[in-house]
Amino acid sequence: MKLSKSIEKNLEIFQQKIFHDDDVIRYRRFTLGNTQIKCGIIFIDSMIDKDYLGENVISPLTRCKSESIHLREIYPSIENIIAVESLRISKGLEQMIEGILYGDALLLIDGTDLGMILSVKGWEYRSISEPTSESVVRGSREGFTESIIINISLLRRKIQDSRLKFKMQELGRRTKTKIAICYIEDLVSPQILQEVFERINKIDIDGILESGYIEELIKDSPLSPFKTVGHTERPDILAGKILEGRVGILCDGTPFVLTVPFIFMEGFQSNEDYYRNWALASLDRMLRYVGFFITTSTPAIYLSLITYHQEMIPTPLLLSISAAREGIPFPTIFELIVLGLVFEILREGGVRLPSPIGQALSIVGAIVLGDAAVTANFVSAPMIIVIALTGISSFVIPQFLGVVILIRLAFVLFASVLGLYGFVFAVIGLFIHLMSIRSFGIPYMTELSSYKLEDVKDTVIRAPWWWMQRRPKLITKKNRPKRKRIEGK
Amino acid sequence: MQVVLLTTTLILIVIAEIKLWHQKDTPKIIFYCILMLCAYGLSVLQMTETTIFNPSVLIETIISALQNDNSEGLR
Amino acid sequence: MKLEVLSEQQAISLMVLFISGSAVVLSIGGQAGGDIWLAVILSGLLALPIVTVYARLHSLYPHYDAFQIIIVIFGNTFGRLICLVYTWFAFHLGALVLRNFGEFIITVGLEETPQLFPVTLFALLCLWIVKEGIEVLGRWSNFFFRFAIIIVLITTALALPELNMDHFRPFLFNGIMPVLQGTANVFAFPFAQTIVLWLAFSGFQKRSSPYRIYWLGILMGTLVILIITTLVVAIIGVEIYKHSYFPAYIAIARLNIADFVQRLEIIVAIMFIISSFVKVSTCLLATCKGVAAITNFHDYRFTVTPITLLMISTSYFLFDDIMQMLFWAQDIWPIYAFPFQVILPIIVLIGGEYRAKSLKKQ
Repeated sequence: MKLSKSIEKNLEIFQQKIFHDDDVIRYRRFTLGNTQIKCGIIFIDSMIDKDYLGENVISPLTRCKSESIHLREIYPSIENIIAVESLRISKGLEQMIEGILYGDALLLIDGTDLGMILSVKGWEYRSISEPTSESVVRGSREGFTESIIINISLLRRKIQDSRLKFKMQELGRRTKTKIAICYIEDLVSPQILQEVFERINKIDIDGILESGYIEELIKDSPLSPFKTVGHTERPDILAGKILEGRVGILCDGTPFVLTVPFIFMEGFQSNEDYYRNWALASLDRMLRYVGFFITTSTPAIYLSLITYHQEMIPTPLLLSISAAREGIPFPTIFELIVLGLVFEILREGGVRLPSPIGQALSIVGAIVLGDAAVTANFVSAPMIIVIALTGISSFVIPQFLGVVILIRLAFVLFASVLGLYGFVFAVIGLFIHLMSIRSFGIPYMTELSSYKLEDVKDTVIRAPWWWMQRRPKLITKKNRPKRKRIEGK
Repeated sequence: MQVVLLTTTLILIVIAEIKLWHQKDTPKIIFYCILMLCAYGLSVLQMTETTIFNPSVLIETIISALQNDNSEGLR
Repeated sequence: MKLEVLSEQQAISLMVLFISGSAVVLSIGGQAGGDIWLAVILSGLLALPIVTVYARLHSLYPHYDAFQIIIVIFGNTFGRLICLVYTWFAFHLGALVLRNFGEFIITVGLEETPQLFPVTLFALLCLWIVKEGIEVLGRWSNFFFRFAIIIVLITTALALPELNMDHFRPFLFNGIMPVLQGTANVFAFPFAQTIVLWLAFSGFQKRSSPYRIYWLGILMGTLVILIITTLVVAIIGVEIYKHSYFPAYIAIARLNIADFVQRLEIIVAIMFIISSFVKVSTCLLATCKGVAAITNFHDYRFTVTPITLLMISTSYFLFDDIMQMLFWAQDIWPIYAFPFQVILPIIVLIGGEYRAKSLKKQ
């Protein structure tokens, strides 16, 4: 289908064929100044800034004088009349439709088969607010919003470097979701970047509603429960990752931005680590590793100690545990799995409830299920302690919240058949898996299985900034120094 | 009973593994099946507790024979 | 196919864990009596020239793995015969270590569990990592190496008050002969077993020297074995060391710090599981690579499952009981393994030097 030279016919094409039965499309007809040339503007109500369109497009066009308009080259001559910062002349119908659907206005003039796409977008969006999923005590309060344009501006304001590049693309055959792949040209590893583009170009899906779609489509080892693509809601985290040479993928319609490659150790880092005193941050980081160990292993270790290796528990403790277990009808493994399940249900229930009800839920969970179950001799008190410890520790590593449950379950099952030996087997298995997965070509456990002092600086501890002089090695190969040495060259 | 269990497990493993290769490579499949049959045979022997040729006993006999010869020769 | 490479660190930690394999719990070099430390040091030194042979072969043929090197040197028929011999050796060693492991578990921990169950689970883990390849094995050992070191250090620190140096006196009480016997024993098991590592390695990262890898590996392995045997003998004495199944386990069980930290045997068990896991996996890997090399397949991965199953069964009927197993490890193994661990590598090296020279001339 092509446009003709007659405005009436053209408007009819839009009205009757393309946008038929669509009531939100507006068609505004007027004449160009005192020249009698008919014009039409097509736009979608509520996606454009109406005042802006009236003041800067319609009003100058209707008031302009005929001298300033050349009939031969009508578009170039009115470019100076329209006060819109971005416009383009287009011949293709596809492009015009896309423009209209994306909140642009299409100007058609009688006598030509061209159209002018005017950027007059203006829709309502959520203002920048503090992200609720990743709150900090110290650090920037900005969070990404649903608009990709605003998100780009947030990132650009943090990194004012011309080498920070954004590559825009559209994904989703129907949703036509805009995504932007951003990276710093001279920091990013070309292999990773190429891999990202290849995987994204392979995506063929009708709709992308959230970056989670992309995440799952480009993820390595899709069967693994571990995430190999990071996501964040905070511009400062994204900026930090990009400065380390990672690639960010912004997606329109969601505040969650993806970062790749994502390695295991990142799950233990927090942006706040870098804003606080390094010693305290290092302590926190080690706490997270300990928390990971506690939340995955305590139930399994407890189980194997009291069923297989009682001799390892100091006698007084053993006595009090067996006293507490007296009269409990269920085997320990059953107790463990059921209580664990109840805890997960409470947590999952609490997440999506409004906070006042959430509090009620936690009271019910804590008092009714905890205290009453012990008094009624359903479960033993030590078991409640184990489960509570496990549950609380899992919150120090929010990135692995889901996967931790799986690991815990596997550990418990192995420990229930072979005691601590089974537990060690399960740990071996877990690490075989962790060592074998990769994220965009980078081994998942990079830097954690290394002994070089340089790699320890930002993994187990967070070394002070004046000591961290190089970027992570495997992700960026070039341009390593983070800051130049002051003395000498 | 154990043997039946073993047989079904092994057959399942064979099918799953060959499916996972995504390619038809006949010599590979044949060789794989031969190895698998060996493993199967050995496991069945082990489960039915049949006494079979034991390499460690053989090696042991040879070595003790050698040692005896040597020590006698030295004397 | 891309050659899978290891970094220097990974190779060294793989080697140290391999050496400490089943040697940390079994009693090795008991013949040397109180001079066991001397026997360990001597055998470590003896092992250096042997590993130099492997390193030399690596640097002569940097782009091949061991089986390919053998085939290149000795041609298709004779080379494959040697490959077959080595494949058997690796397979047999793997089965032995697997059996050690099974006996260990049922002797010290789970008396009521049938041995086959933990052994099968363990072998399945080995199967998994071998399917993932040597790179994963290297990274894995590199990661767990630190735990092994921590375990050794912690036990040393905890054992300090229990040590009784009188067990080592007088020096050379029975003359030098028992020491030499002990040396031969420790040399054959575990040091010279590193031949299997040579078979399993496929290549190293650029800029890393195979000599350094092997030498450092042997030195650190010697250190670990030395610390453990000396500790154990110093705690329980020579006689118990010689006559118990798993002396390290008994020794650590004696530790008791202020009635609170006690019964620490489990950490010996953990150390043993970690290191024998590495050992069995390496043997399995070497066997699979050998089988693939003999039958001329490029990828070894498809043979892993059947060979693991074979190894489990073999380990099961290899010995009647733990007595026979220990007798084997101490008395038969050094003699049986000598041709595989010393004579054959030297022959391969001579052939390799000759071949490399004739290639250069061309």
